[in-house]
Amino acid sequence: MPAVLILYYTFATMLVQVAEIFKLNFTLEWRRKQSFLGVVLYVLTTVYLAYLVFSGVITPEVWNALFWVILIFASIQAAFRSFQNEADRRFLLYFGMVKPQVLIIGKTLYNFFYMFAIGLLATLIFTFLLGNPIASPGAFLLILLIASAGFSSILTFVSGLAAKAGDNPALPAILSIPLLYPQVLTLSKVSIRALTGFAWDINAPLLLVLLMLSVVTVLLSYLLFAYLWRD
Amino acid sequence: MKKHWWKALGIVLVIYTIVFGFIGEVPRLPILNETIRNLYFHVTMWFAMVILMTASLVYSINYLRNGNLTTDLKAKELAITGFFMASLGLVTGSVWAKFTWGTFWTNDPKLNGTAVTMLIYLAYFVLRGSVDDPQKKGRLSAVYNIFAYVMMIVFIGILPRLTDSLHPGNGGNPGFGGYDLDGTMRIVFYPAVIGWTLIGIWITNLKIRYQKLLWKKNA
Amino acid sequence: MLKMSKYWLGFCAMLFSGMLAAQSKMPEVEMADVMRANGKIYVVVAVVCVLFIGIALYLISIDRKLSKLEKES
Repeated sequence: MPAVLILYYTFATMLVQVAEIFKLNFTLEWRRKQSFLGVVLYVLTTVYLAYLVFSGVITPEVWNALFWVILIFASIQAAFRSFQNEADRRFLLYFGMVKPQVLIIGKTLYNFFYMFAIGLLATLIFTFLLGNPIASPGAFLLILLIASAGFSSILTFVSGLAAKAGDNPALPAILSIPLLYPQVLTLSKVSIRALTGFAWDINAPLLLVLLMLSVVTVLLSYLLFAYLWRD
Repeated sequence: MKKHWWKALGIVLVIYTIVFGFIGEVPRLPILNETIRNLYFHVTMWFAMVILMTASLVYSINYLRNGNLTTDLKAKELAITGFFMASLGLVTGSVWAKFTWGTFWTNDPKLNGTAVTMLIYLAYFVLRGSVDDPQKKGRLSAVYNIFAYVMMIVFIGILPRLTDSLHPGNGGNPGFGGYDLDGTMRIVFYPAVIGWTLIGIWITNLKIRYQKLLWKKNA
Repeated sequence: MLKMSKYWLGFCAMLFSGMLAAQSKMPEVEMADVMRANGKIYVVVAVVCVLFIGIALYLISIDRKLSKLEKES
């Protein structure tokens, strides 16, 4: 009985701390909107570039491919910036009591919402410039949610790693993109169907697999982050 | 000879593979004809790579527990040799593919898995190059090695299943992975894997000893 | 019961003859039988063996050099 209580207590405190980290990241982001606006501008400029280069030749397949490529690069930017914030580091010093595990879970959760927001924004910009071929918006939204979960779980951890490894600007992309291939492969296959014609029976298992992948990744990052964050 | 028996075994097994790889009986399959013998050389490279990378993973885990720089050195050298064998596998595979399928590369789950693996290990080497402090280098690269390896296994296990659920079967080419590894090929294939792996371990062993001598000289 | 076995025998006979007919229609898969027949395959084996033994000897010499250095220090 006391064991159950202790377990419950530690879990509850962890949840509270995770919520704290989440709130912290959110407030930091809103105070200095530069980082968020930077990512938004990144999406805008790349989508416009795609528009210029692909002028007129936008089939649903092209739309789909461009969307995922641009979203991946934008997400990598977003995740890496979340570790680079100066104010963030100062707060982390104060939060020395926070266990690394809590930190990574909190950041991953925050990045999940962040990346979903970027995804929605990207969809809007894409629709504005390149037309709207989305046949099943509900399915597309679900795909975006699952993509955000998958990207956030991998990218948050790898960005933490890259942030600790020094100033090589290409490092976050090099480290994270290969890890994302299988997700992107599946996501783009499923989303092209959301653009053309979506059937739940074929695609549901794929989406479930992606979700499970995110869970496994979060578990892994929970276990390994402590080794990363010793300094 | 007590220390070197496994090196001799490696040499013997590879010579066995060469001799019986060419002379021995193989199944007579259309499209592949005699090229099925590449199984003993091209496919064994991948098997050897997996074994070496798994060993590298084990040493990486150990490094996180004991912080011994020699352990990190072993993890790194195993990854390098594994990557070398993967590259050989890639080149031989491309040559074989050009001859059999008409193209160097194709959108096949096995090849995608190969690309993921090789790019991950290249990223591992770049990561190591970006950090100067040896302890930190070892720690960060060990964490990445573990993370990436688990992801790789999850993917290589899941990806074929995903594409199978959408596209049952894979063209008419018997060379696509459903090799009938009947008895005639197994007696050469398994010793070949062991032989090439032992040669890979020998090369790694030489590099590790060389590096340790350099450390001693510079200390 | 006897009637059943007669029908079974007839069925098996047809099946068997069908299989035989199918065998004769299967295309011969081209292999390097000619090379094996006139012994030229042994040249290939010999060449690759020489290559590999050469590499193995090189590895052994590197191994010996390292052992010597290790003994000295």
